Amino acid sequence: MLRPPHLARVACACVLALASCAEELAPVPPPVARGAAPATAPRDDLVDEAAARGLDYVNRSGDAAKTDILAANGAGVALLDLEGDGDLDVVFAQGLASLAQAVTGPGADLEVFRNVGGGRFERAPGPGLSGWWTGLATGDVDGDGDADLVAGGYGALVVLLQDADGALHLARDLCADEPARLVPGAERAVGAPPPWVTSVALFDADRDGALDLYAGLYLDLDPLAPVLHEVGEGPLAVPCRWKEHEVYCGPRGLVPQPDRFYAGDGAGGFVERTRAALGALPAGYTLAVLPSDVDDDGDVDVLVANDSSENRLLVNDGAGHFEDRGYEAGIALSMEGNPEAGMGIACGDVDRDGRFDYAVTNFSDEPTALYLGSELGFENATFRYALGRETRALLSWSAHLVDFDGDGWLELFTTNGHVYPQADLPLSGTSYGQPDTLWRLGPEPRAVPVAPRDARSLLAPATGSRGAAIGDVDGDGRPDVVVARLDGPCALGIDRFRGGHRLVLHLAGPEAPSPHAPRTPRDASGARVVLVAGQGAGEFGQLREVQTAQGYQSASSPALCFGLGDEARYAKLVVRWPSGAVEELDGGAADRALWIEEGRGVVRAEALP
Amino acid sequence: MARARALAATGDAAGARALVDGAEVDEATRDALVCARARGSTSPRTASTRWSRRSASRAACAAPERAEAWWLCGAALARRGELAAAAPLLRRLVTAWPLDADAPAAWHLLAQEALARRDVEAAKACRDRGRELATWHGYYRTRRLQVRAAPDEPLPRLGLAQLWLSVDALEPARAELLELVRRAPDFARGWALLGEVERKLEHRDAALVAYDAALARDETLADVRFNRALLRLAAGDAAAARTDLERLVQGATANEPRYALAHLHLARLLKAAGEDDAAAARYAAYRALGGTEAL
Repeated sequence: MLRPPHLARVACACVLALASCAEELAPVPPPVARGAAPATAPRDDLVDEAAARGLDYVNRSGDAAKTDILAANGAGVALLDLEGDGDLDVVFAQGLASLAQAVTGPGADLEVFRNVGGGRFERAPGPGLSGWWTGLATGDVDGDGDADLVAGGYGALVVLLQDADGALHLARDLCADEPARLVPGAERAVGAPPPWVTSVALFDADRDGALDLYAGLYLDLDPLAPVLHEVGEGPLAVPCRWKEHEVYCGPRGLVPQPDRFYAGDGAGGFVERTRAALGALPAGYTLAVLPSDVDDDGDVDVLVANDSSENRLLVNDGAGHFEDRGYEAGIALSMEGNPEAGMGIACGDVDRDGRFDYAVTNFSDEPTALYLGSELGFENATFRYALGRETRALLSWSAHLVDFDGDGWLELFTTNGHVYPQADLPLSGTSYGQPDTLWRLGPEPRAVPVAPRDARSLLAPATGSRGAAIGDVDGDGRPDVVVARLDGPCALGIDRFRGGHRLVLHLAGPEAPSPHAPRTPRDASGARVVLVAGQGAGEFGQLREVQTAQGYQSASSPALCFGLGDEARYAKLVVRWPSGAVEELDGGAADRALWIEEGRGVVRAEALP
Repeated sequence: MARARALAATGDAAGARALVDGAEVDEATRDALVCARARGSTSPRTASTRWSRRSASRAACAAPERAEAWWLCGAALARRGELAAAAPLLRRLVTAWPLDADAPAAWHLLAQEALARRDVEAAKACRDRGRELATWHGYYRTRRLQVRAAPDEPLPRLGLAQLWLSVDALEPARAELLELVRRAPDFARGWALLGEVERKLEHRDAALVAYDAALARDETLADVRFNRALLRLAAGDAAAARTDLERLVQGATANEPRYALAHLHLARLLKAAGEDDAAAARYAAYRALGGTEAL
């Protein structure tokens, strides 16, 4: 248990302590040296500087009319350090112009953008893949100290290892032996729907120090004979309609594909162990996967958001065998007992009580759900936080709990956009294009929307967004967000919130791993940190866990970004490593980035700009 | 009301509320209006939990004979995290209106409440009942969609009637089947199921009419013939019953244990008619099929 006993008690006191810190100025982020990021960029906002900073990715996701379900789901994005130069580079998944092109080819490659410093990007060669790519996961799968990538797609699941020059190379094709795998341009027969991978997650399930892989799969979609207009046959066929409009078919009525689990060997190799790890877990239209030590017992559990079927909480027995406890924990269904269209998952300690809380995004007319960790499972706080009213009209995808404004309380960021262009027809109660949204969730326990300051805000345009990744791309200690938008240019929301002291932690497992398990992975995946700040009645704690898989089909930076409000120092850091070791580190000054290695404490510290 | 519902669905809650508030209502529709207001106030699109609870409580007090009033009040309490307070209201709903559209949700909340009390067994029972009922409602919605898409197609409506039968709701099943045979009079299985429902409702004559109609269209319906034989026996029409039973003990159904009783009933008729050898042969066939009753 890594929870200071006073954490819940001090949470209320912090409400008062932080109320006056909003105008406290933190160091102003350095101006962008190249491009058009203006010196007059608005404050207290996420300012979209993608074009100015060289991120010129444009998503392709099927036909504009969205006649099949593959066209609606969009792409993910990953933030990882590709050259070991300490800054975050960007990899986007990419789709194709039509479902037919997935068969005829040519296929798409991943799109790579190198951070050349200060959050400015240049396009770099991709790894040379060919497919329709969807979900991305990051982690050091070969234990060589740099981040690698797993890419899932419609008909594909591949492992890419990073070489010494920062290039990604195809190392394993995990669908290689499957006749139904999709190879654009290759002959295929009707009646063999390919495996459709959505979100993927790398984490250490069995605490052997090697990252394992959970692949969420969606449904059967035969590219040569997609189900159109109605599901079923003859007089029992049901037309595919939404609010009286004809729309693409699915997921209901189509066949869900079961998720998969692959055990990693620590050298970049993976062996499928689905049956052993997941047992007879029913298939469930998976869209999002988030590893997290939900029950705080030292091993990593998995939350799975399923579209139109029950969400799952896969509780780990410590040896990498999972059992679904979603219903008992209270996260499987809506408050009314209905399965919802789970799209994305976020993790964070919203109420600062030392327990992780989770947000799950859903379809329009289904609110984004907020589950607060409690002594027994979760407490559904969706309506108490006013998320019912705030999110009901939105169809949301990626979700992230992040402290953008640095006040020490988490905000909820969601990417939004409807799947049906018909949403723009009268009386739908929603719209096809929707702006991305940000809400403050504290110190008052209710969702308070953050309004865009002007048209440059990431939160301003009503578009369709899907995957999103969080990370400090410009090195100012503030978390930024990269968004993969549907059928259009990506967005890069640079954190321009004023105020709040910061602390950024980069964690690493030991370079020479212990000969005996449990071990900490080299990239510290699964490490859990409590930061304690403030004094007396104003003392508060914040909980974080190193996990890159969060949101929807995307991978965020493993670095942990803390906001400290007006606290210029933190009192202590407690790190629980996956090996089981717990280290308590003395307090220090805020506004720094710290590199912490298991067994060696703080090995490097730098002041934030 | 319909216009208000449509407005609410588009997100115009204020417009919907204005319509409802301005409506002139008679006594008969007053309760529905109270519930509609509460439903609007608990809609996640508009709800503040405090206001919705007040409105829902008002609905439960004003319209206790309406299932939705109990649901609205229970749900409003649950959203505030007051599951213990919600539980009695939800229990009232699932007891008094077990097939109500909100009943699966009520069972779900009751399961959550039991979990909060750490009563795992009760939680499991509530969960299972809720899932079972949710599945039933899922099929029900699908069948209704199919009926709406093709109202003259007999299969969807037959499925609807079977759903009602699966929960022993005989009158709604009968209504669907009457509509089915009106629209598709040549559909033998519709008549057959109608006969079954009429028999369960103890409408013997109506059941016989339906069975006759079914067999006139498909004489291979062995179940129908067997049930008709039983009804004819009960009505004292031994000759007609014997005709059906003799048909059943020959041909494809002769050696099916499912129709063993046809051999027994025929044996008894034969014995009563003084045909002892034939009766003994039928009884032997009955015993060979696993029957244990005395002749």
